[in-house]
Amino acid sequence: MSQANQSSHAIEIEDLTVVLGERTVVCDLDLKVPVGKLCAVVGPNGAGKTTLIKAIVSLIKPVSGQVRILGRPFSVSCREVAYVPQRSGLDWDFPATVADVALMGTHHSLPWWKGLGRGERDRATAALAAVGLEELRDRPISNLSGGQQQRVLLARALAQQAEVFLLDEPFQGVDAASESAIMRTLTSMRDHGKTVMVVHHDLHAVAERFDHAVLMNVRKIADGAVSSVITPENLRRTFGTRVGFDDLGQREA
Amino acid sequence: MPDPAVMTGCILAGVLYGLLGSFCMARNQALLGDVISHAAWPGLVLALGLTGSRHFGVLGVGAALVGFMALISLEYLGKGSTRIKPDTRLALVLSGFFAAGMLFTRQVQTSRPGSMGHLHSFLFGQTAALVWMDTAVMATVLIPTMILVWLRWRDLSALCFDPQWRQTTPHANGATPAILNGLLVIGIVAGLPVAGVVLVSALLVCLPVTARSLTNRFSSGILVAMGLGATLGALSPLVVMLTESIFRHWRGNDDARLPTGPVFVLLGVTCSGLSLGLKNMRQRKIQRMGRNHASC
Repeated sequence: MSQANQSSHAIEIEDLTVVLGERTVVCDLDLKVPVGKLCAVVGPNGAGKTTLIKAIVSLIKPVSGQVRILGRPFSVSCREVAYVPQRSGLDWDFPATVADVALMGTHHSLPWWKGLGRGERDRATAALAAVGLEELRDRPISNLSGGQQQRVLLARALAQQAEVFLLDEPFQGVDAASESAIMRTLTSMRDHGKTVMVVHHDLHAVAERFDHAVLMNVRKIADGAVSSVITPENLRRTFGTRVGFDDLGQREA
Repeated sequence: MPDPAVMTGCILAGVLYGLLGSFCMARNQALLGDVISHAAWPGLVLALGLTGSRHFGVLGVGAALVGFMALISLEYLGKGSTRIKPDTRLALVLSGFFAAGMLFTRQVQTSRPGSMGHLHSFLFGQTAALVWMDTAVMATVLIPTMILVWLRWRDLSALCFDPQWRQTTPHANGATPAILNGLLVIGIVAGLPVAGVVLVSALLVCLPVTARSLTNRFSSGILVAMGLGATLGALSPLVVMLTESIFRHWRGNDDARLPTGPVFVLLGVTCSGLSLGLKNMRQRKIQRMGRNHASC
């Protein structure tokens, strides 16, 4: 435990390679994200961003490489990690209320034979308040807007009281009000010393509001402080024209 | 009065399928029951062909074993490529196993003539012939299922809503879904004498569908589905008895008994239809109110 706390990196990835079907989606990726950073993962569609997040939380088994979170493998440190999946992958017709979903985040801090207590309910309520949904707590999740759905998932992650948060495209199809509510929550999480990793598409938002960034397109292009990573040259290499990709290919060879 | 064993069997089947079906529907696997029940058919036929026994204990073991094989092949097909969508997988396994069943049926028909009548009662169900043994089998599936749901409730609700996220949480293990699926297979086999291979999955679907349109909570939905199952299970033998006496009175026909299984299913499907209709009407009313409000 003490050894884990000494580790200054929230997420350490070495030589990660993931193959899905017949395609290499993430190739030989090394990455270190320091503790307490608000980190954006940026890249074109199909660049392996979602796969990277899923590999970090062990949903996808990599071909090679290893992932350590707070200095330990995920299976040991999973209590410290909250994963927020893509909203579109879930069945929002599931019969549950907003509060039910937030409460799910508190479940695994309880042994299975114990019922939900006051403490768990308070945690869920606080998490809903943090994302501005406390008034909708009894609303069925099937009656939520896209932004509200995303905020419920964020509330569930908050209720997990984790140290490292991994969010897959939380700003996809979300209205301006929800976007600012989510961004405010993420910033405040960072201010409380949490590490937050977000798959993001809006380069302007990343440049303005994040302090750490990872540019990737199957391989890692660059990572580090936003000001040093988001440069025209790096962006061209990440999103670039066809020529850009060919250059990359030649470099690999 | 209807036979108490038949009545008890129907009530137990209703409760069991209300419970198991709620999980199937919540996991978007409404057709899984259909696949397993059709896969049970070759198991029944094989067990009869190999042992010659007509005892449900023996045939049921065969059905459950092949049902598990169907479940495993579904898992296996799902592992390969994401290009094969879940419904395609279900269709593949269902038709494959049932085709094998038809093949075995022909063999058994020639090797053990006269046994087909018995098998047919599993194909279409023969509720009126339920004995206490059948109800005991159902109860022994229902009780562990209820205990599992009671103990692992939080894990199971996470499994239904967001299985991927659940896997990233500390308490998640592979055992809970595996046990649930196992109980589903055994539960379906136990229910074959009530509704038969073809109709068993209807019970798995219509009870939770009705419950879903009546409630917005998973927990209360399951209770409604189980209660509805028990009610319809008690009602269907009564309906059969009532219609029988009406027929007898009108036509003096002694042989006009309706089959209980299909009556059960029809009652369930009618409930689903009515509940969905009511929901549509309520929505339309709200929309109309909204329109009136907008015009003034």
